[in-house]
Amino acid sequence: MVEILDLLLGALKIGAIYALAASGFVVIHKATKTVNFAHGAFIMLGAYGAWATLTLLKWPYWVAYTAVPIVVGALAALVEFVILRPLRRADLFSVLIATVFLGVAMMELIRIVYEVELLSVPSVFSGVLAELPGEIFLTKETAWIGAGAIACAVAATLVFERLTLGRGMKAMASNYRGAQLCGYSVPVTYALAWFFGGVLAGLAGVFAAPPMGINPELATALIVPAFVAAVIGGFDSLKGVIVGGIILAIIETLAAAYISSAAKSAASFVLVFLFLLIRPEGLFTEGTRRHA
Amino acid sequence: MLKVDELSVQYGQVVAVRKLSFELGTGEAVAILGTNGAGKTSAVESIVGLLHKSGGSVIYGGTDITGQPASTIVRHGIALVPQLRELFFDFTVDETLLAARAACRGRTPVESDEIYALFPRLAERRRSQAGNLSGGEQQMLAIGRALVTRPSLLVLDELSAGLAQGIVTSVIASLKKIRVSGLSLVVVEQNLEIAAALAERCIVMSVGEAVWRGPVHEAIGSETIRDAFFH
Amino acid sequence: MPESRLRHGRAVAAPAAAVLGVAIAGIALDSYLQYVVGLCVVAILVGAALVPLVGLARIVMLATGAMMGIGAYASSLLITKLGVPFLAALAVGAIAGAVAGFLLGLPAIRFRSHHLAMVTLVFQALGIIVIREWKTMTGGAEGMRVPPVVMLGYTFRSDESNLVLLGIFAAASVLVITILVRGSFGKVLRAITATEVGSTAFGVHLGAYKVAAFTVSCTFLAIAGAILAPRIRIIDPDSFGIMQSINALAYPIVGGMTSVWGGLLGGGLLRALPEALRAFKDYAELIYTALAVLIILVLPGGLVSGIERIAGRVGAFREASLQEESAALSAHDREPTVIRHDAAQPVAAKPSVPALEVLGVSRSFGSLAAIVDVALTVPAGSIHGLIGPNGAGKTTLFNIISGFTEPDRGEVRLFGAESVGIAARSRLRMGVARTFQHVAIYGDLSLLDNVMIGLGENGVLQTIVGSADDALRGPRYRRREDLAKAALDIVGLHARRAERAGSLALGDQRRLEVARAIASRPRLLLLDEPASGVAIEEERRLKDLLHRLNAEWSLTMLLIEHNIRFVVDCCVNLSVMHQGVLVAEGRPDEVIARTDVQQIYFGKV
Repeated sequence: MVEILDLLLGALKIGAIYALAASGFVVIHKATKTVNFAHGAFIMLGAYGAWATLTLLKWPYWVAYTAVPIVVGALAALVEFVILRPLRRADLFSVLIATVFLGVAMMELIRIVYEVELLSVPSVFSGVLAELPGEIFLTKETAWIGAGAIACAVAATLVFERLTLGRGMKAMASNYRGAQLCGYSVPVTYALAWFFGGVLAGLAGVFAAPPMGINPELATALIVPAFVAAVIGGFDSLKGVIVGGIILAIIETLAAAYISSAAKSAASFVLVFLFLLIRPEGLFTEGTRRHA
Repeated sequence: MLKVDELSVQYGQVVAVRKLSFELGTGEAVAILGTNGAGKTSAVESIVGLLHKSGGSVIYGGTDITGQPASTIVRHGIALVPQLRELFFDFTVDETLLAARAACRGRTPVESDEIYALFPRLAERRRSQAGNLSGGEQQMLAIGRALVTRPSLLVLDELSAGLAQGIVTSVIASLKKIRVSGLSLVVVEQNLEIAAALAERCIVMSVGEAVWRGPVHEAIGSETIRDAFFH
Repeated sequence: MPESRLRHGRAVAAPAAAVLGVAIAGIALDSYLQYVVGLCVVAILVGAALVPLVGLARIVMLATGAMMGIGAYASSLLITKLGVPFLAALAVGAIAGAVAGFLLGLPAIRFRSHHLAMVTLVFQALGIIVIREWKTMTGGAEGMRVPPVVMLGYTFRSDESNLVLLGIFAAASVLVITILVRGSFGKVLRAITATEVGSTAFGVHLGAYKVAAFTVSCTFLAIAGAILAPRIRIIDPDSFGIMQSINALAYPIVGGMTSVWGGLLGGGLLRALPEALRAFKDYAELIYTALAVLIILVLPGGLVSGIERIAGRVGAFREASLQEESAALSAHDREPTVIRHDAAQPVAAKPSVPALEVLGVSRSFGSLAAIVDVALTVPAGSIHGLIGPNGAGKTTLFNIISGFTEPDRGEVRLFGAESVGIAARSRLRMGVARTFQHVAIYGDLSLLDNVMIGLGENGVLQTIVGSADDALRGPRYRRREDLAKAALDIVGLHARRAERAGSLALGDQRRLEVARAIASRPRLLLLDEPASGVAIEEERRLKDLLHRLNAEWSLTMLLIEHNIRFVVDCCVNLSVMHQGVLVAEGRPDEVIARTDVQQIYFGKV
């Protein structure tokens, strides 16, 4: 029982990161109908950005948490504007393939620039926050990452739903012709959505850096959970992916603990496959009917 | 105020509109009539910037808006109520009206309360999602959304499609009320009666071209029009 | 005749010959380069194998590595553990790949684009996990040793012999792939990518073709893995991981998606790239992926299309004289010839059985009642028109008659046979063919190929088995070609049959659709807004064509139109729909003179 609690705490931490990773992924898909296979790479850039900020520039963590996401967001918006916009006129297949290769290209670029494969950053906080029954220690770090990442994901939901900033994206997601008639420019809104998605990816990277380490494989390690969380939660539901990410992390953790580490790797794939077969629309459908 | 000069619209092979020209002054209303496939929707959606123009020019209030996209043109003061309404099904009525404010650069948006005063039915349903409204309410919302932008020219594409007679009458009455303030109208219709209620003159289109122009009352009951429609 | 057979035979054999040539040319190089060329030969096979799936069917395939792994491990295990001879083991490996491809293809039917990509990724990941975990069999992450190939007592130990072996197997596989891609199978795959409804209407089972594309590609991917294994001597899960899949995806995309040459070029070039850039070895992957993105942006048809464009300019003046010739022929074709009565007459239905009976059909979509209790009868040999304003329900009714939608209630009988519940793709066999409001031709195929697909007989096994005959212009092809040419002749497009359908003007595309629809000599022709968007001249020609078809073949027709003039001149009977209900029926001039009909269009005055 004690063991499970401990495991669950760990799962919540990872699940929070998954949820944040998936949020950016879903924002981009919701607003621009693009599945960004390069999203993991943007998260990776966020992690490396954190390292660069802390270790190279020697600036404090709060700078990493604010500046790095903005840089990643700007890069994402650039990718959308320069590469994907011309492709979108052709067909979605090209856009999908382009994001796959862009992701790999970014991974390779990082691998070349930072030759040492494994970098690390210190924890944000050290020490224990609270002691729970059964001698389990809730570290500040776990609490920070768990609560912080979830908070960011929730904040993303609020921005998208409530703020004027998000209204254009939401409108464009709901009906792109109607959105234009309300004065929302397609190129601007798409770039904004990618910026927003990139910011969330960068944040996910900064959160993920301490616990998961910093290496190019972070890209592939997080794109799959992002996708799976989106399938579980509902590809267009920002609330859903938070739930999806946590469910995924819990199942992975339990599989690793009670079956084997191979089962952990397999878990996400089996889960996504089951969902695609049984409930492809995910747990939460937000009822956005794409009105052409 | 609106000058359309030799407007042409082509999708790939299909020539939907061929060299359409007309003018509209401030406060005037014109109806564009014709059967399906005549090119009416293509013409107005192209003027408004939703469709790409393959030729010709559109000048509005002295500014050349030919190359501009819909999101920019709506800020100039031309608002379209499209044939399929193009509402946001998951937005409430309130949210829909708020969403349109983005088009109001340099103009004060029309407050939602004014829209509700014009369409009391909408006020009762202000917190309902657009997807759950009846056909008539959706049409009113689409018109309301367009009006939020405080346009000087309102374009209505087949506003009567799928609506019961009673609703149509009440919507027409509301529109007549607004026109008093100097709003210009372009009304795309298949139905002469509705056209007559809203506009003084009309242009009849067939297979992409304007084939007849004149006062609407002349069109009614005219053999020429029947021929123009039926060729 | 024989020389063109030879020409086609050469075209089919050329890619395979090129592969063999590369292998043999490699013998002249030093040992290390021979090794590299060997790997390139395998990559060339992989590139070719992906053409049906990635190039023609436009599926983002991320399971390439796993499929190669299946072939490699299956055959190697049989050789090392059971002493099975190489050829037999190879065959089993190929079958394992086929089965795996089939199993991957089945769920693939339900999914599209990114979900489908995910399903292939699931397969890839789980496949590698299985290989890694099944340590007792596969040696797990450490890999397993694969002995050199032993065939007919000879051990292929030297680099030269290995290269020749690879060349032979790769060439043989590429030959089969070329036949499938150039033959009827590849053509139907292209048709499906162009238009799904336009393919379904002519007997194509979309799901079956998807599964077949997976099965075919994965079979050859497994073969590639099986011949690679003895060459690299040690196989491990990493050799067949996700990076392999992504790299392989680049082969058809960079090389050119729609021809085997593209797969060849992409595979060979990209596999050689890391070796060519030895100095920049670390940058290889980056250059690789950047190149892929660049090509997608700048040259969507891949390198092959770039080469074609350059070659096209070179051959331009040769083209010009050919064009003059075909222009002269086209001028002749302005007035199409008389419709010939072929020996094969359509079986005349009993004159009393109507071609079409619609009885009490209703259909709603959610709360919208699209059609309510519609009844319609079209006697055999008649031309019937259906008009009505937007939203009247005409398209829904049409889709029900052609099988694309099912009614909630009511019956639809085609020549007396109940048709509700019969899939759209089976309608052609019932003698019903249709055209589409938004022209649904196969843009990348020639006019002739478009019409040949219209002949039907497009079952997936039929086209796979028939690809050889098709690619080599054998007797079955010639028979079908004659029928197709006859149909093109009737609509006046015979001289342009070799042109690409996508390059036609709209009016000609509509004529092509008619040719495709009549090629199989249907008994009932459904036309959806055939005159939409065409100029007056074309309208007249279309009208004449329909009249002639009706007169000479007793072809029954039902058409939807907005162009009242067209419908009045063309049809014997006219039905008017409004808000889901039939409001009038009768002779065209009488119907449109009716006040209630005019009011539907003009409103009460």
